Amino acid sequence: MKHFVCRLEELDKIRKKAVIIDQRPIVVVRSDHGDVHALRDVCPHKGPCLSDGMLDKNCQGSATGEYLFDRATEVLRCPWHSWEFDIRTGKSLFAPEKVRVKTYPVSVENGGVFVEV
Amino acid sequence: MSTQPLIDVDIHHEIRSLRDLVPYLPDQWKRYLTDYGWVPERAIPFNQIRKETKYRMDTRPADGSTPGSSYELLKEQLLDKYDTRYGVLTGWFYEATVCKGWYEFAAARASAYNDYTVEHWLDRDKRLLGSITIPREPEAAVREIDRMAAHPQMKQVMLPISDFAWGDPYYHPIFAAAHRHGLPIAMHLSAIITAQGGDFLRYYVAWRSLHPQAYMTQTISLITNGVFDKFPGLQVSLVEGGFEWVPFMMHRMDSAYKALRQETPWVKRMPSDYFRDNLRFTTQPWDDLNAEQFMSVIGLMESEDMILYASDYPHWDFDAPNRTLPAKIPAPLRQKIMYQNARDFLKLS
Repeated sequence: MKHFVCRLEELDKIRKKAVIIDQRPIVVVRSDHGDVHALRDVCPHKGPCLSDGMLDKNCQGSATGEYLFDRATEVLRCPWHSWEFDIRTGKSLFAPEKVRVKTYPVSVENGGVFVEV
Repeated sequence: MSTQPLIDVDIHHEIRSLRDLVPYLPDQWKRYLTDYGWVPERAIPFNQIRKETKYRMDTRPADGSTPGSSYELLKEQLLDKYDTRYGVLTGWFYEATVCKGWYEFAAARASAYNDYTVEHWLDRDKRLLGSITIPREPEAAVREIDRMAAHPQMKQVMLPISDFAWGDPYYHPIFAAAHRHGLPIAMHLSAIITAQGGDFLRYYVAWRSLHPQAYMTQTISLITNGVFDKFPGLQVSLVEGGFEWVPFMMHRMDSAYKALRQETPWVKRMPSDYFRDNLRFTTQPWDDLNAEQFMSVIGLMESEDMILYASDYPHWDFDAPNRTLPAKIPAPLRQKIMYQNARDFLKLS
């Protein structure tokens, strides 16, 4: 079932919003490119709200001292131990198949953001 | 939230800024902070790539002051939330101990920090226990221990880990003073520990990974210099240095002692005996061991008494009491680590 979360303009400003839908904590985030994603708002490691963390670019590099920001991939970084999760897939960067957070389908309709739970 | 009472042996309360110490400093030192712009040397070259750098991102007080500086927030996020019976304040003012030279000023800063801790923290909550901050110079350190030991909530002496070894006989008056007052010692890394042969290494991730090396140095130094032969009842906790390496070092030192004991004949027992009787280690930073892995470490230690729970609040690698030890370890062992071992170490009733 689709649940209204907020207007897209609000998310444009605050970038991430914590909501409770059907007793499930969910964080809705807006990427730099404008697309919107929803993830379970609980870090699978120790449990704090990911919404208290920060959004960032995925940093890559293939040589010592090289830092390249991958603009296509954005991460939500946990407020405690800095574990990073791809906002599109919920997969962790260090063990994508083993450590991940649940994601929820998102739609934007008439300027409103909806999450399907 | 948690129903098991616990003792947390690593809580970093902080000053908002050095200005908080001004009321407790003698006039000749006060001026360095108010008029002359003195700031402590910042040895560590790193900053972390995250909001709030070394702090949990959700611990900055609403007024924007330093994380760890608000008693009310610390009470809410830690003491009350997790049913903390006692919480040991370890502060974050190790520079007064590990700085080089100008010991009169360092001694004044250490005293001011102790007085600040008593007035702003210990007097406000009887669950909070303190660590006596000392200058490094032994004579002044002993004076400070003698001055603060009478406070009923000051339960240990803090020796920050730096780039020198505390077991050297030069520092033994400090151990003697702590022992005389019945106080244990806590050792915690400062911002200037460096790697043997590697300085700071190049990256924070590397520097953090090597912290146990500095803790190994201290344990070896204490034992080979006979600190525990001189003061058999003295206990030392090594806070935030990990514990998986401990059985490795127990066995390595025992094997070296069997062959080489004649070089240090004042060391009367097997090194592993001092580990079990005199040294304690903390859970934090928890390295995500599962129950089986953890129990194998306990098995190699041959002791359930050596590990104390620590949260490291409000630092980024905080370990919550209810999310640290694996679920499948025996309940009596859990109780020892969360409560009993620290109660014995701190000599609480």
